Amino acid sequence: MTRYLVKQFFLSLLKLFLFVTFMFFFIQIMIPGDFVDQFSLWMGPAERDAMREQLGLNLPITQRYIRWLGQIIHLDLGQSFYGHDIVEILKHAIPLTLLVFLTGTAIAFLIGLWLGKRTAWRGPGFLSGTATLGGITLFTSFPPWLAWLLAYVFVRGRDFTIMGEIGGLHAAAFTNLNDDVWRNVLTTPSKITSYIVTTLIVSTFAFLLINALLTRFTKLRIPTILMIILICAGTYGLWNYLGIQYLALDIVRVSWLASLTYTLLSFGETMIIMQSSMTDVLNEEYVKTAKAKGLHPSKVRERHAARNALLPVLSRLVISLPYLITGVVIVESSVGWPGMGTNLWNALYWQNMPVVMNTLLIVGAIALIARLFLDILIAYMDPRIRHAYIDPTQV
Amino acid sequence: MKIDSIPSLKRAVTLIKANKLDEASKIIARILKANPDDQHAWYLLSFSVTDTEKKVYSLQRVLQINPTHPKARARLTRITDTMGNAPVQARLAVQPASAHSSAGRPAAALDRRSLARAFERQRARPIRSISDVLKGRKVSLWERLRRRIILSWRRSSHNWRIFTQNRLAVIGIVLVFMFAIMAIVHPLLLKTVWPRGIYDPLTGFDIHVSPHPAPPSSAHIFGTDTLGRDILSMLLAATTPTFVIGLTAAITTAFVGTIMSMLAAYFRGSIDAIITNLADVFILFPAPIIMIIIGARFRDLGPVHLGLIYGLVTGAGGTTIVMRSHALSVVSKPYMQAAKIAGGGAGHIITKHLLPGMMPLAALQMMVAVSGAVVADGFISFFGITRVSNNWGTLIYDAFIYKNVTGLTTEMWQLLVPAAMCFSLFALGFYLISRGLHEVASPKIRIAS
Repeated sequence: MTRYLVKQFFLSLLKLFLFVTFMFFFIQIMIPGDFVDQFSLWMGPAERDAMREQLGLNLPITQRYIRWLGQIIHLDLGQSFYGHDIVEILKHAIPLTLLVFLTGTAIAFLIGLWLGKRTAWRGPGFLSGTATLGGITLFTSFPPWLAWLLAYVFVRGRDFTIMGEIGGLHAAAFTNLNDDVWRNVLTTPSKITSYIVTTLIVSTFAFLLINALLTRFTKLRIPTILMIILICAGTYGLWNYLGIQYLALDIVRVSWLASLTYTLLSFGETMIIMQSSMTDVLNEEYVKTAKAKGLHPSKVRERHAARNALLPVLSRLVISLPYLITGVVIVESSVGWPGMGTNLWNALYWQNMPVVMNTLLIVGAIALIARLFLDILIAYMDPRIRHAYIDPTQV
Repeated sequence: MKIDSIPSLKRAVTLIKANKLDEASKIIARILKANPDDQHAWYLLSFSVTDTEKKVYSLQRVLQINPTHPKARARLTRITDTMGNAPVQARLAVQPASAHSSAGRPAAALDRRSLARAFERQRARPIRSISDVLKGRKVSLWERLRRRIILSWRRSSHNWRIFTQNRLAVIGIVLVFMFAIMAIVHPLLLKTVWPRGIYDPLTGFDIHVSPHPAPPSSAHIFGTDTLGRDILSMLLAATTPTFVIGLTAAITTAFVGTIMSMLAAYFRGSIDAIITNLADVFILFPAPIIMIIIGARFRDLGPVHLGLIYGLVTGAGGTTIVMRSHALSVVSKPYMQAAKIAGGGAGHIITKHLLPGMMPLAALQMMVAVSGAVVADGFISFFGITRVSNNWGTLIYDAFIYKNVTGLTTEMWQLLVPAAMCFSLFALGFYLISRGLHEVASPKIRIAS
């Protein structure tokens, strides 16, 4: 298992490198003109050449590529076309995106699994047909429209910016935080958001660990719903401990729309994959045996069928992870949530290519990291990998 | 035998005596569905069906359940005698054409599993059958073509039956048909009923209506937009480019994905490693953003180009990964081994044996790609970044900025709702079709249903 994970780690480093290379050359070849062409129209040719020399734009593309790689390694991503430090922009945006991505994916995954399990167990019929159709409809609906509709229904007249102002030159910012809460506060909203993300992860892992220990020693397990409540309570407790509860609640108040939109858009896919995986499993002999020996149906469903149906879903999720992250980008810019997605669209609109390149780099890196986590999870859950019977990269 | 099936059986007997065979078949089919091991029902079935082969089949079932059924055995020998002394299987082999071409609805409802097995047996039958080869019979080109058409017709009608068992897939077909009609109707309407000056989707203006945007009326079913154009006409005009984008993306995706995955699965080794890892890299590129960047370089990209870009990016990425795992399962099948041992070359095996196995999945991926490409394209035009002038995304964009431009508090529902609905339903239709194809493509689920 360790060998497999180490292999996956180095493979994903290689993939990141290839991705960066492709993207650099693609964007450098594709964009018409460079920084100097676009923003120093008043300069003479000699001055332009001098400026190119100063910025290193006169070098051949291979040397610029090597310089850029060096910059990435030193975590100095340079400046945008408007003189902002890109690292600062990303530092502001990454926690916001992570918040929406993590909460949305987790909730969508839980809902999708539950619905897929239930619909497959019931078999074809009115209820499962409706659930499937509903999930697919949400999954294929047009994201800006869905976001707008949700905002119209839930938060009408409360001054929410939908489809954030495209074309802002600067990094996108929160527009609808409660000023009373944020007066006399020194930290920035994105810093608080990063605290929120961290506390959520810490609390989730803590309760998962408690659950695992409980199962190990007493054969009891905490029900999922109680688990969710406990995690929420634990997170709130941590906020209280850090003294940021009002600020954090204010951010949650603003962010839930983005999370909800993202959840509704993405749970359908998990549901469908789980459904077909569960249908496959229900035809297996061991499920028939479990039924035949008179086990309670819910026990057959949960212990024998759903647990085995989960693995194909996880490995299928590996493929759809990058799409999920693209989905976050799309949802963010539809809702006006000032994360990486909105920044990316603004940068694309103004042809601010340094920001585009670096944001794509971070999106790719997040996708690869998430994939690595998923690989670890699969390796942990699949006894065949855990005991090194098979290497999934070779199958 | 269940008690409650007796009245139904009696009804069936009276129906058969009255020579209403179809109704009798339906009733018996229902009994058999509830209890496949009902020997009396199977025996009655041999009277209610007209096809000799089905009669033989149902009698065989009776004898399987109860080998000592005297009437069934007598009847079976009588029927086979009238068919000629050849055993049933051999007869099937000699005369493939007429046997199942008349397979009607009641037969489909009988017992899906056994029927599916019968179809599988026929599907495996080669165009030039073994008996032809052994007897040195020469099969003419025309005869071979005829058999091929019959076989493919049978296969597709069988697949169609599986496909339509999924209600959602039927909904999808209906939706796509609706949009196809929308696409066809628009130029006809412009030629006949709608004067160009008023109803042109780009330049039309109705001077009799004011102010613009106007609410729905009899002349303009969905009303007009801020520039005085008819909304219905704009919606209909946007259908064709959407189809073009979707289908281009679908064909490109399937083409790239199928070729890459087949190469990876057939050759394995380093080629497999390169293709898989490259696909993992390609999956990181968000297709809409690539479309925008290329669109910025080459102005005036049409729907074909946008579809092509989307298809290439997703085809080399996600589609390849999904199809490769399917191709691996096809490659490991015994007939592939047999083809290799028989000395088939790589090109021959890939095109003749691997490709047919990939086709249903390719079709599925095509449908998924249509939904994805259409949403991606609409998303770009929603933010006003491409130069595609008329598109459902553009319409939604117009509806949203209407409020900002006019400063009014009302929403432009008459533009917003139809455009958004068109969008979602179009993507939904193709995705639902892909669900139906999923059942055709995956044999595990097929047996279950």
